[in-house]
Amino acid sequence: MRPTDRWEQPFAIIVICFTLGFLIAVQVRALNSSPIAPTHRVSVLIDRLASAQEEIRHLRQEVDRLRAQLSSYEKAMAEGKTATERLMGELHRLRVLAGLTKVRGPGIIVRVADAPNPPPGLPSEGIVHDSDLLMLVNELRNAGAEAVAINDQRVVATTAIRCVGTLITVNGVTVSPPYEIVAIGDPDKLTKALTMPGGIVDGLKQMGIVVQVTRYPEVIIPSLGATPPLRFARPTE
Amino acid sequence: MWLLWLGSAALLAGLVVGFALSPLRWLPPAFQSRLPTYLGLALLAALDATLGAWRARLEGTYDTGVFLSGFFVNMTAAASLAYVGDWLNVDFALAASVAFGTRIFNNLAILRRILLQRWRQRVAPLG
Repeated sequence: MRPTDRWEQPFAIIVICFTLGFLIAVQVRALNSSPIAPTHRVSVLIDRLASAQEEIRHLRQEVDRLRAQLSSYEKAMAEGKTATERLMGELHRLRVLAGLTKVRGPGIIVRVADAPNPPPGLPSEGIVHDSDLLMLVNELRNAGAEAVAINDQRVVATTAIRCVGTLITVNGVTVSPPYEIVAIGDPDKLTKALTMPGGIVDGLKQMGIVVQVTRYPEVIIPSLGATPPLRFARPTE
Repeated sequence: MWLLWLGSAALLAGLVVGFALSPLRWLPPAFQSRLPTYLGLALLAALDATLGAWRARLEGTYDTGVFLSGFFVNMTAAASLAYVGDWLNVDFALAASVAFGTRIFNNLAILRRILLQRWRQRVAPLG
């Protein structure tokens, strides 16, 4: 027996048991510590979301109240003062463009729904994406749509259409399928812009998405929920 | 007997040090989230080496050097292969767990046979 053989065995046992203990401890801590934090945070976030939504509802009511007040002031101003009439006309036009008033007129309604039978293997293909809605709105504007709304959310210059997780938000408000895009403009022109061969409706139908374009002599588009405040942009004059 | 106590003490010391050092917050988060996979493989390799050593002991071919080197090299290799696999988008973790799993079952089967044979010889000696 070599002299080192006496110490070989205890040395091996110490090294191996220590390593095993260390690994087990680190593993236990790694498995226990990671999943707890996110679930806890999700519930906190859900709470915060609920309270934020409540606040939004209150603010919307406030917007309605203030708007009614504003229009009564405008009425009082317009009465008698002919000098301001031209300005008022301009104001009304701009209010339509900015989405501050409910508008009506001839137009179309585009109804878009997810594919009833999505193509196998490609589940995302048969789903209406934010980009699809964006392209539809873009086509409608190009064809001269004067007012557009998606599921009652007025689309204006500051409107963002994007997906948050699996949902699509317009003006920060969640909209869900089937989507109903209402546009005011020349109904024939708007319809042709969408349904031309190789156009956007063709493209969507190839994915299995259900698209239906209907002309109406009169459609109504609601006003914008809340106008975002201007914090950075200033007129140069 | 004192070797058993020595082993238990070392195991306890390892546990204490491991609990004191972890959770290993200083590691990058991406590595932290994969850490259980790597450590699991390292533990699997350790189990394999231990069973292999027991089997070698019973077969009379045990060598501390072989055991120690196999223990550490296999452990490190399993964990780092899994890490490299994550970089290359190849599931080396699966490959390693299949390989070690197979070896563990093989070793267990051989151990079972050897132990059964010894027990039979003790109960009913041949001749």
